[in-house]
Amino acid sequence: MALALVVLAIGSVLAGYAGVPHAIGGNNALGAWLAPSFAARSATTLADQAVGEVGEPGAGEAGEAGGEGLELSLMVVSSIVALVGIGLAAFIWLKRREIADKAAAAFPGLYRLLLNKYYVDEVYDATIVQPIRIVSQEGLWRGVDVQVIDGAVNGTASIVDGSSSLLRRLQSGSVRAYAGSLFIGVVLILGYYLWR
Amino acid sequence: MGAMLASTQAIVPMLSVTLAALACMAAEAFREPGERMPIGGLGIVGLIGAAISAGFLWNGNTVSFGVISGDNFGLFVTLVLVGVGILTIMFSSQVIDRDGIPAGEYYTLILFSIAGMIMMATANDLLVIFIALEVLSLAVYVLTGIRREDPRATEAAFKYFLLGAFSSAFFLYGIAFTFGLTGSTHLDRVGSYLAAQSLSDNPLILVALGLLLVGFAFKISAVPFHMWTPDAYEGAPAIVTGFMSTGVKAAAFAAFARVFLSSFEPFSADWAPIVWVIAAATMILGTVVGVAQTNLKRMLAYSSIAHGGYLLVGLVAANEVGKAAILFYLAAYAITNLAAFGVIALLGARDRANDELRDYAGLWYSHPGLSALMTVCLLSLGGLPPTAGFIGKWYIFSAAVSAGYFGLAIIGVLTSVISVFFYLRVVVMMYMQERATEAPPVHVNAVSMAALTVSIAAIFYLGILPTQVLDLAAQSIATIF
Amino acid sequence: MNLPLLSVSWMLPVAGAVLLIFVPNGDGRRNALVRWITLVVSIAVFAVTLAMWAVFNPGSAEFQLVERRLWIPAFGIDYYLGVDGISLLLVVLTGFLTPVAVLSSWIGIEKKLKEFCIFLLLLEAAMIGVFLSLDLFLFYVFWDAMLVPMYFLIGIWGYDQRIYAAIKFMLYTMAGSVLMLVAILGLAYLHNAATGSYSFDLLKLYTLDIAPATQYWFFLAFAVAFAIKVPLFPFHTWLPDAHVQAPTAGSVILAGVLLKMGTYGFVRFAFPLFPLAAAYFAPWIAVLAVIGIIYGALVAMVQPDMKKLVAYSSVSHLGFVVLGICAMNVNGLQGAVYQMLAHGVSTGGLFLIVGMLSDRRHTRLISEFGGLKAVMPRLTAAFMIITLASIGLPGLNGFIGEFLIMLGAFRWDPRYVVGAGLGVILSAVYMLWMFQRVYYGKVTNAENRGLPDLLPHEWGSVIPLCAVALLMGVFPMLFLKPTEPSVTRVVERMQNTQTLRVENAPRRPAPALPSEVTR
Repeated sequence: MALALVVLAIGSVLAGYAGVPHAIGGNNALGAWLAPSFAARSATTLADQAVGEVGEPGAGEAGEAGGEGLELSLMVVSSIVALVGIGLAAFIWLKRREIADKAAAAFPGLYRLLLNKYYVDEVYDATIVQPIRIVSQEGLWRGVDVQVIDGAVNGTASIVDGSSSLLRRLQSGSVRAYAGSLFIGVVLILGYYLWR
Repeated sequence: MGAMLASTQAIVPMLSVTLAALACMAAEAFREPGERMPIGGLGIVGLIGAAISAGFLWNGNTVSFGVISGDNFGLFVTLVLVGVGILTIMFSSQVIDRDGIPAGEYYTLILFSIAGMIMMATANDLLVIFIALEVLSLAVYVLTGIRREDPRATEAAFKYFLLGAFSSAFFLYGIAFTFGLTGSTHLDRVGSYLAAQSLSDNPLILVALGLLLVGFAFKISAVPFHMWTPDAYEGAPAIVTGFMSTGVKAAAFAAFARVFLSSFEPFSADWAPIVWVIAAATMILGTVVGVAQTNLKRMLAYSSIAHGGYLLVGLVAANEVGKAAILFYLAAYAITNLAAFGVIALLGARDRANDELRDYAGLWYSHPGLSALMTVCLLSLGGLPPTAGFIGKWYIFSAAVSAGYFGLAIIGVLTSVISVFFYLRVVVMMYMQERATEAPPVHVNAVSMAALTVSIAAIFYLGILPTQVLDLAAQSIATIF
Repeated sequence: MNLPLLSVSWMLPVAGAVLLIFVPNGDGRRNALVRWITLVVSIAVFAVTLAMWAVFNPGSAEFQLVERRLWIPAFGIDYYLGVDGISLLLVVLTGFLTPVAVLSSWIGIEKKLKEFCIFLLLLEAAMIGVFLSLDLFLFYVFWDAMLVPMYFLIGIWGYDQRIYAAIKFMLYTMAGSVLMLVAILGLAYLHNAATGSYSFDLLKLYTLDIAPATQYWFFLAFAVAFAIKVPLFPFHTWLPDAHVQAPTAGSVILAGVLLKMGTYGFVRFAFPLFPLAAAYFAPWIAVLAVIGIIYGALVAMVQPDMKKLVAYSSVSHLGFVVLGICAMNVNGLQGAVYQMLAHGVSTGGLFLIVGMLSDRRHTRLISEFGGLKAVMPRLTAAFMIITLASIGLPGLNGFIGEFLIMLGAFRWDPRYVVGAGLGVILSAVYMLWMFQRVYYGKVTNAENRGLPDLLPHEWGSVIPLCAVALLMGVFPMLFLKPTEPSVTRVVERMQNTQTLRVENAPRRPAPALPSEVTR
């Protein structure tokens, strides 16, 4: 594990040399190498729009000059903040551990918040994951699928089964009932004809 | 003399079967007690003779005595009936010995009944239809109760007899009205009279229609005239039930179609709506109540009711396709139902019918071949491809669709789905349950196995290569309608 | 080579089944022989399907390798087989997945193995027949015939609630298909009314001019049958039961091939036969598809049973396919066809590996597993590849299909893509969460410690699946090229009713997309 970190550290240091900005004296090799892609992009945009906005290159030049000062100051400020932070953390962690403990004891809520990474995972779990899971399990699966849809399917079968049990009682076994049913059929047919 | 001989051609199939019946009777009379005689063989010979003569009469359009017409329609049904008869006799060979049924009387009655059925299918006169109806019915009543020691069989026979007599009375009354109105009972003359005169303002012709309808509807177990069917089918010996459910239905439908689709065709606007309602009610009631059954014979009784409903759909459609569809469906249904009842019969024992669902549990483990055959029959009854039942249903429903009866077609297909449920229930029992340890062994002798094999082959043949039979059916209706 | 490849492809499995009938195996002593025969037959069928691909001309939109013979002339029913770009790869998929299914049951099925293999082969024949039929009657015969072997496979060799699941599957699917039967008969009758002769020839019926009202009813009849098969929300409830209770081989075939028959039916029959009705109903079907995508994903997420999770994931993924079909443009339809293939491979793989786990522990509950990576690293790796393919990671097959579908759907109506995109995210959620609970972490259950890693026959089924998933992701053109002409033709046929389509177009201004991607 440590070996990997060593390699990465060396790489991190050396990688910066590929694009040292003009502001501190480098020639920005990486930027120069990538420039053609962006130039080509803006050229096609110009061509598509079919307008000749010639103000762009000039503005770019002017922007560059003023931009260098801004770039330098940004570089300096961000480096200072980083170095101060590293120094502070190294001081507390290596030398005076009790400052950290006292700070944690003094602001327990804030400490817990930071320790639990702003509770982002728990928020996701509670607002998105669990509700979806519960809805899917109880609502969709057990509710809709098993009871409603499958219920309709099995219900159809139950209807047939129920009708069957009901209708079979007509077959009573009594000859007189059978003859009666025959007679009812005759009456219905003749009745239909005579009524027409 | 020559003319008289020529005019007897159409009754030769019937004659052949009747002679075989008489021969059986004589053989039984001369048989020593305990002597084994192949009486059934005599029956098969007579039936084969009938089939051969029917083949010779094909496309001949002969008429005998003015009342029996050997047209293709009647001959097609004759062939179906001969097939039913042969298969029944083959299946009976084992059952008779096992259950102690008197063989001579049994075969005689079967053959007389078939003779009556053939007569009913080929008759051209209402009175002759009635005579044929009585001939076949009386034989069937006795066959239902032939196991005298079984109280359920006796009850079944008695119920069938009483209700049959009741409905025959209506039928006869209808014939009387028809005679009174048209001056004849001959179908051709009735038909031409009805077509010529405009009797639609005379309510009596409708009454006649209605009464004839009642008579036929009883025989084909249409709702609400079906009440006798579950009890009669359950009480009778399984093989008799198979015979009844296929042969009687075929003969009755043949006569029904002949009367209503040729003579009373001018009044189709009057009888079609009633038959529509009856068909729908029959299909629905047959399948829905079938769901609740646990006795296999009773379940197949309700399934027969439902199949009668499908056949009625073909009748309602009343177009060319419908008429041919009825014929094809009768053939497919006859073979399938008879084979299914054959299996049920084979599974029975003398003291126990073994026709409850639980008696079929795990049959696959002990008799894989028998279960496979039963499964094919059940799938055919449910209308699943590639079986005969599927082609039959498809044919009937295409008749309904071409005639514009989409509602009936939809009712028909949906009830088919419901029926698949109780057919598959048997399959579940056979394949997916364990066999009970005290289950009785099942024996299948060679003749029965041959009958089953022929049935299954026919089911697949009609299901995969139905063209020939379909064409035959289409040819058969051209001659009279 | 002049072999009638199409007939051979479905008759070969039947011949194999008949051969097996005559192998005496009542006591199970010849199980090994039965297995090898089945494997050889299924690989032979796969070879036949590959031969079909080899001789297929990818530049043509016509049906190829056509075989036609009179069957029932009185009704214009022919034995009519043909293959085009859309059906070709589905047939190859069937040929590919059947040996995988056979291998998956190498040690799992012992009881009545012969009948199991017979039903498996008969099922394969019926499935191939469905994809190849160009005659509506023949199509219906194969469609219904496919129900019976599947019913037996679930009902006999399935798990504890197999009978309920088998009957539910059978009756539910059949109820839809019988309504389709009435519509088919109606079509034949319409053809008779128009030309004087019955016909069930699909290409002839394409040219029928059908009144809009009739079209609507017929389309609904066909759509119901296919919607149940896909399955489209809310007709999907048979699927979890059938999948969970089926044996592994059954699940692989069911998810891999059978479900595609529903989407294939939409592309081949429902939409082209009734273009007006299709244009009218497509927005509604797309809504159901998007609901299915999200609903299936959410319900999958909370399943404790692995197999049910994968079953609901099928509902979700096939919603994508239906969305692509409804978009009715080349991108959407090609994406749909591609996704059919991809889903077959990846979901087949998912069920395969879940089956391996359940065979080892006789449980399918996620809570029973955990930390399996330490015990079975190779199985874990295979499952990871299949999972990523299912999620749609670029580089594997799921990505191409889903991307094309979303592109096509966006061009039709961007609103659907919102739901579909959500579905992609959710699919990652449920799959990865399941993966984490089963494979990562500590071994929580002592019983899991001694489980064996991939066995030889399992290698045989897993490696081809992973390889194809990778191949399809990296060389999609191999699979897209044959489908393109046929897809374009279907789209053109739909768009030839352009005038009426504009009337039925969704009410929105045309989106201002940047320059059209002309490829």
